[in-house]
Amino acid sequence: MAEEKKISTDELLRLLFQERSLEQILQRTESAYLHITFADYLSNWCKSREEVPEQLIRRANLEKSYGHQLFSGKRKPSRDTVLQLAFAMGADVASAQEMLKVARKSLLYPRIKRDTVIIYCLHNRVSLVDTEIILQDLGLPILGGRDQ
Amino acid sequence: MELKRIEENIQSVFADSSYPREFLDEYDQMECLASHNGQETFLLRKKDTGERAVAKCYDRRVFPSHPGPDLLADVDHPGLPRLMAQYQNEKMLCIVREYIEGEPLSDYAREKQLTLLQITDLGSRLCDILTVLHSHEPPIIHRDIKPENVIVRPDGSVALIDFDISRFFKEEAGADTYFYGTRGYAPPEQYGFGQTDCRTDLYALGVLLRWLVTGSVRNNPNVQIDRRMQRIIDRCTAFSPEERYENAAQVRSALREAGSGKKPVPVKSLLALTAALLATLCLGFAAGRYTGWLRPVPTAAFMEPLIERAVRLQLGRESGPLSPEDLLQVREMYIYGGEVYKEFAQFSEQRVELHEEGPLRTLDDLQMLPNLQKFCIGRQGYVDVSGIANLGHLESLELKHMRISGAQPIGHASRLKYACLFDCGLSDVTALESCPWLEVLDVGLNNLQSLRQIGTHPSVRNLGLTWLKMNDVAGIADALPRVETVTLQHSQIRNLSGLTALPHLEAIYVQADQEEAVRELFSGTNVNILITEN
Repeated sequence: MAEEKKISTDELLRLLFQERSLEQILQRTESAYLHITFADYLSNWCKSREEVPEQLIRRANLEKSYGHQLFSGKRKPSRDTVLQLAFAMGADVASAQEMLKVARKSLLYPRIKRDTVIIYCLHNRVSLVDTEIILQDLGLPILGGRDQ
Repeated sequence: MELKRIEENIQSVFADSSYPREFLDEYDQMECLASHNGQETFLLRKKDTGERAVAKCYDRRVFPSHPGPDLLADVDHPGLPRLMAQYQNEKMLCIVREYIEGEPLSDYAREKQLTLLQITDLGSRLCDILTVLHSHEPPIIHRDIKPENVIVRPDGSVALIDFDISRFFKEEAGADTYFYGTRGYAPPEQYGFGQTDCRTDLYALGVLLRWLVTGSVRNNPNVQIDRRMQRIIDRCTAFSPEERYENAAQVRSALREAGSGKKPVPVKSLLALTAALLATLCLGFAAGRYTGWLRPVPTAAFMEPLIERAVRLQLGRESGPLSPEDLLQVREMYIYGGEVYKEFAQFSEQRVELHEEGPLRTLDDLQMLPNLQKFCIGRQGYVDVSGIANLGHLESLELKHMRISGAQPIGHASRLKYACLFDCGLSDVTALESCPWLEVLDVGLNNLQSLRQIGTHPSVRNLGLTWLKMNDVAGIADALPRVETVTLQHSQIRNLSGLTALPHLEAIYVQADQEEAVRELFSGTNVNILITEN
């Protein structure tokens, strides 16, 4: 261990969360989501929380008409958008990974610094705004930045 | 300040990153597109310009003598990603290439119904790229040609990506004794049958063309395709490299010919040809359809009116003739009893007690629907399901409350990820062992009496065992080692202790009166016991 300096995914996660099964959670597949679109996922979530899409769109810091197009399925979200919505929903890491899977985006990968910040913040329920501040302080691209 | 603490924590974890310093200084890693066996592919963003790029990073412990990215450094072709930079340290080698904007052919072909002309055009563009690679000195063999590695740009041009498997494996191994490439697309000699050369790529191209035309990478004699296309595919994929085309340019000209419909025809046979053509057209019109690039398929004649109704519902076409192209657009179908539904959500709401037994007897009609991805049926009598066998795109299958001829045909749907075979009267589902992507397997309420009748499914994560009568589940950790959730409601499995050996088990679903026993079994573990009646 001492002469092996390279940080493996496992070690990194242990350092961050001291949680044995996080890697399994990161990889988890929920059968129920194989059949649905991202738009359905969003609508179902709002229905189950009795929340109107506007609130979620606002919390996710998304442009209103773009947000509605996501709900109607007219637009497909970018990966950052999915993550912004995950924060807005108060999702944990497993749910965020599920959302990425439903939207067919790359999962969060803990050897990437930016993803690790996001994992850490989701796990510790840090708000979207604070997460953006951390990303910015660390010199990392913010969520929904200029690529959007 | 809390945020500062988080920042420090993350900084300290990444202080000793294994990626080359200059690499991290130049680029932000945005996403991990793939990672396996010491190889990672990242989507990057250049810090100063915001330009996107793709990096392949190799762990030096796994690839101690990777020769580096010189491979395409001097090749400049719009169909190939430009080499931008390489970075290395003692731990990693990172090769950065241009990011090609567009959609992978794997998605593109599924979304658009490609015509023969479009397929031959795509194929000849790929041949152009291969010609550049193969005529390089020394020749570059791509070795991993597959739809995922072909990007279709918004303007319709194509590019071939994912190069770094090329050539260096050969130098590493000294002989072609390694398996590389993607199973299904790799030719026999790549498994060690002979020296690899340019024809290796032509073989994979042939398989790719077959997939574009039939939806399956395997040769399927039941699917009839354009005869000239068939000949091209056959010659590309001949077992012996000697029988294959010699170079990509030959394939290109054959594809151009097939696409143009032009072919030198001897004068004598013109008359016979015209007569045959007329006859075909008459037959086509009589049947109320026209012939597309697929050879005539009996579209007008559905054997099962209920399947025709389900097809028409999906297509939004209540009446009128349906062409083979129309049928290619059917991706999903839901039938419960005598009713058809547009969406899965409606299907899943149906209750068996509220439906009469449906009239379906055979699924042979499905052979006309090669692009079907989701197929669900509930509440039928005895149904011959052999029509499922040739569905190369089928990913989700649900058969509930019916009797079926056996699970064998389902095993041939090799892309299956989700299989629910609930109350189907089955006493053996081992045929599904040949579905390598299976993640969800629900075999509730069947006549399965032992694990042996369920079989070995190394990829299954979610397992449904409701309503089963079995003595025990001993050996389940060997047969289904990746299982994460198990449903057990109403099952009468006398001894559940085998479940405790499942290394990835996260949750068990039970009904209230099973709870106590299961909780006792898993006391002191992290496994969640969840109560549900359904």
